[in-house]
Amino acid sequence: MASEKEMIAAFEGIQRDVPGFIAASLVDIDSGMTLAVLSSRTDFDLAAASAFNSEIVKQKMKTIKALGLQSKLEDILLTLSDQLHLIKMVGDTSFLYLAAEKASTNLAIIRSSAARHINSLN
Amino acid sequence: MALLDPRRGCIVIRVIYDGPAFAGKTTNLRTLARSLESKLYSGEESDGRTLYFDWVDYMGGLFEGMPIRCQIVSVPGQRILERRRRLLLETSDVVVFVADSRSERLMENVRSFKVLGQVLAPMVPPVGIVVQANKRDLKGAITLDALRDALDRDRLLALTEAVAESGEGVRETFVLAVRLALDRVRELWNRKELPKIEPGIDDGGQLLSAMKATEGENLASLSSLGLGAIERRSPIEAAAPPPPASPPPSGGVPPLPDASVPPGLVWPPVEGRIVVHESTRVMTRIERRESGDWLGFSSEWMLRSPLKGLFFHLEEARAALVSWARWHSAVAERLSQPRCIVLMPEASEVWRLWQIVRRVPTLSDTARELFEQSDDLLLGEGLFKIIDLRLRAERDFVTTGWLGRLGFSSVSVSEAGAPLFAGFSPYSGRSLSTVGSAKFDEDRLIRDELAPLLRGELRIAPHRIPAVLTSLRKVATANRRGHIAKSIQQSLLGS
Repeated sequence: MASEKEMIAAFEGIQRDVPGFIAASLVDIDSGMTLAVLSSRTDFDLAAASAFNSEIVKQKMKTIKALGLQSKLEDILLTLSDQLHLIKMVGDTSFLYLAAEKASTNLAIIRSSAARHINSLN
Repeated sequence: MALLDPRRGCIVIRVIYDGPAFAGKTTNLRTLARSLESKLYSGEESDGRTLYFDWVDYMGGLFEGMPIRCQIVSVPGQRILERRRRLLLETSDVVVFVADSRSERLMENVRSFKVLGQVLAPMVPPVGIVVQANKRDLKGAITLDALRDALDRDRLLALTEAVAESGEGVRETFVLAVRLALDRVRELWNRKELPKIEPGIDDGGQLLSAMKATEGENLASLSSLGLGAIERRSPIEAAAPPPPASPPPSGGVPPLPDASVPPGLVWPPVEGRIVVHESTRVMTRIERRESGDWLGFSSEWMLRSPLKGLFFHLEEARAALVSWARWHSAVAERLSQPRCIVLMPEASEVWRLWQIVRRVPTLSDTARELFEQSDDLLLGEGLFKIIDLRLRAERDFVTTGWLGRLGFSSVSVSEAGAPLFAGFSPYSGRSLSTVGSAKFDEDRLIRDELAPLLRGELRIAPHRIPAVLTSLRKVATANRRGHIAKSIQQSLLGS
């Protein structure tokens, strides 16, 4: 796995690519703990958001199993009224969580930037 | 000791950073505090050395929908403060052992780790240990394998690397430690032993006061240092299993156990998860045997899923896991370690039991090494020891009915010199009290198992046979087991 330093450098790359970047974290699925964080806003509780998103990932994995699908979860895109959130799997035990202002960017930019910077770490 | 704080609605765990003096415990906490945006509280210091502890309080993550509050505490490393160290260790849910990677510090690491093992040994459920090899950037840093061997060759260790000064590896170590702590919490939860009380120690200041209050007393007041004052206790219901519903898959190589195995499906709960973590770091080749068993191998590990280890109902699968775990518990002192059993979800409504065993040197390996050395006298002595162990294993494990079959390649030796079973545990394992045994036939063992082994090893050096037999006869006679040497001679030479 990439080090915390490498992950933060990747997040900084995403921050440069994505207008309206709010925050990004690498999250351990099992515990919901963050392994690396970068935030541009003090009013965004990234730790709490990351933990609750780990529950979303766990539930989604259970859904996939319940449906008998042989697929693997790759990412989850969430559209809020004013924000966009991306949850992208990184390995089997962690995921990238990325939040950005909806008015400044779009899902395609978020997704491609995340893929480029995270994939380059592997 | 973990607890559920009813007032804040969170799980509280204590993560202890242990290790010899100057290994980097305080540096870890300082770096962690900065990284987690928390405050560092240092009890008391003298010339930059921790006298009591350092403390960081962090709320993050989720367990069963509840936030996790981590009391992260480092212990003093100086030997004269050993009592304070022990008191804190006894309150841990997981320990991060910070080891100084420099070669000149190795003995201190070893000494300190040994004490840690002694303190944690009686704790139930067991407390997991993450070993952090710190100061990896310094010249003279020993290899991870050397560190692992020095600390405890026979024990499985979760190992991480770090340069705490720069922050490298610090957070990764912490999150791994939290995962292990949660396994312990889960075990307490499932046993309905997780206390539902408010923490008696809520911050570093309270801990310092409590520790000072115990100073000078003959017996430490552990409850005053623990997380919870013993007040109300109410049972915690174990989380209900998930309700899946779909048909089983067909064919294909099954997925191997990995870190994604759900909680509660690994035995033993803490060490087992470490086994899974370690064994899945290296590539494993997997094959299906004629018996229907799946087997996986790497240079350090072997995995097996028996044909009967596939289930289509979770409760039935769990019952099988528990039953097999009980068998392992009952015969633990006869089994090589480390090993674990895992119930791995394979698809919807499909679970598979796996066994993971670390490869250890067996009597076969020892025999091969013996033949590589040129001294026939030593060879004879060594062979006698191997034969004796093999015969003891046959008497203790097979004749009693506990195991069906053994071989030189499935017997290893404990530190105390007793035989251990190093192969895959039988799935429908029989307990030690099973009646119905095999006749102990020493001659058959020697003729059918040992003699072919010797013949195979000696075929490239047949001129050694007379000298080896002479040496073996001498040793066997001295041990009043001359008939063994005679049997071997007859098997090898026919006379």
